[in-house]
Amino acid sequence: MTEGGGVGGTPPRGPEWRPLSGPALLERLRVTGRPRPATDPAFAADLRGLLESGLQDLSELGEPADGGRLVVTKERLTRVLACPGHRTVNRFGERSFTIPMACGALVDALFRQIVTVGSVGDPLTDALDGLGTDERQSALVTWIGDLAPSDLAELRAEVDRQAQGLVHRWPAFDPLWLPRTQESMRVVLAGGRIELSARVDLAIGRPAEDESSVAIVEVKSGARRPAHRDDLRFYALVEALRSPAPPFAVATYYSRTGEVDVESVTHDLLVQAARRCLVGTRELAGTPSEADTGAWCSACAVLPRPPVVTAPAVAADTTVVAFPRGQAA
Amino acid sequence: MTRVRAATAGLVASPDHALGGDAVDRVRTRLEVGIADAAADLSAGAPLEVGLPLLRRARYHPELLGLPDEPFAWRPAFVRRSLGLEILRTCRDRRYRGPAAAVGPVADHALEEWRRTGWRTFHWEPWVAGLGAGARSVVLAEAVAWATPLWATFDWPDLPGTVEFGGPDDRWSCPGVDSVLLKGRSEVRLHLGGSLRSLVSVASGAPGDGWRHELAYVALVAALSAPDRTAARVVGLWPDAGIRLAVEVDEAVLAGAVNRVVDAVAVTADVWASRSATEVA
Repeated sequence: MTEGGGVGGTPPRGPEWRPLSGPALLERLRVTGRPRPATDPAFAADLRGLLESGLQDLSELGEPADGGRLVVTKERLTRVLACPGHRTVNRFGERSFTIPMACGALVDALFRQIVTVGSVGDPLTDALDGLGTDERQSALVTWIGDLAPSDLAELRAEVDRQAQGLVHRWPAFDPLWLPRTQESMRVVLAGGRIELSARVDLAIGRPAEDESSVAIVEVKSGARRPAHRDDLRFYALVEALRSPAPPFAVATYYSRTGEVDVESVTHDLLVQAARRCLVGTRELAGTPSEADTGAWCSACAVLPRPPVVTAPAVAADTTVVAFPRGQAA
Repeated sequence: MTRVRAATAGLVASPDHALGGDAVDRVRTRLEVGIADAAADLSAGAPLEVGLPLLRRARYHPELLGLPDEPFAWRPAFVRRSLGLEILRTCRDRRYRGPAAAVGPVADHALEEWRRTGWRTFHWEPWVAGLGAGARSVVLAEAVAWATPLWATFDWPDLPGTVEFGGPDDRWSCPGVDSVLLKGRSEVRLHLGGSLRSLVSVASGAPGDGWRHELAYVALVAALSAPDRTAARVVGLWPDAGIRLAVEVDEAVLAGAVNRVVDAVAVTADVWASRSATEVA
């Protein structure tokens, strides 16, 4: 049920396993089984200091499109930290559209609609309608429109199925939880030369006062992948740096199965995320640290041997928590 | 004191000093002279609308000043501010328990009023009315995401005095340089009593190094457009970055904003002049 420090996942799926729904699903997000972290300015300062000290020698970074600022996102980190082997075979950075990719974008749009208005009409129609408001998705919308009838039927069937699950399992949020979708989070580092940027599918909870009060949920329409937890930890890091307290939980909701993978946010998790972020950011900046970036490859975590940090320059006392085997589909 | 209480207390605090009419006059004179100089190279008659976007572009991305404006087309991002402010107003009136509960009824009411009267209070009513369910939900979601951090920053129901959400932009045309128009926009104006106000300005992203002058600019245009109702302070919120900053307004602060405006006009004139030269060549 749990893996690694403070990790609380969905129990292994047996024949009697049923996805959580309604109040039980919300309770799973709200109650992690661990005390919520208290607001800790000293720790937050240390966390920022870890990143700032590791980035202080960087200068004049980023592409003009980024306004001279290197923007670090979860996708960029995962891509740049992939080991050479997985960099060539993994799917990150893939440009051509696929049906699973389209399904993911459509389900994201439907999840946002369900959280906001609580209902969906014809799922594919509504999702395309929602995506159509974002010009960055216009190529994908066109691609979907050009699909062969059989492919479109396949996509429609899967989107219908997942939409049905979302509608049935996700209850309306109490407005006092302040649910908001696609929340943008940014943290500027290194005197403005680096920006950590994230956009989360769902954030709930008032901004922290004395203790953590925010939970973050990411929706995935496909199979579990180790990189999903790295994504969540990156979100936790960014939220911890921009707010008085980190989120108390980060979760991935798998809309295909209804599984929810909830991870309590701890100091260890945040330090780990900061070190990964530091190594990846330096790599993105073209000034890699001496640490073996391949050691942070998410895809390697499914191999029989856990990754090993080989160079101590940046991550001298890093303890890499191997992603539990058997988690990746 | 909690963060919300601290933020609220900072918004309603009595100002350390009042900005006198003489100070506003001096600032105005300095601005007029500066703009007249800087705008000398502007193409005759070419209108220049100065606002925070132009100030930021001139400072951080002057290369973008030469690009033609894209034709306007409605997008969810253009609705979220006005719808979000209306959400906040209804929540402050305790009609709803939070932005997520308010957004549907508020949007529905706006559309009903438009259908009933033909009057477009928010301008976007016909566009939103023509959207399908999916696109409409994006509009609502964007407004909730915009309004929620602002709602969570202050203790709105307990704010004393009159709170004005949105409202028309402050405007000021430079005498003698008719082509230059200054526009200032506040998300919230809190009337503190007497002639004083606190202003709240919300921006996306993270504050740049010129944030102080940008907040001061909001106060500058407010003072120029209504010299008898100056701002005591401007509180800036950058929700993406979780940052709240404020400037207490005095003559020196406004003078800093004047310099920033003059710089922006000069940079824009340069870029436009070089663009014209390129087009001629």
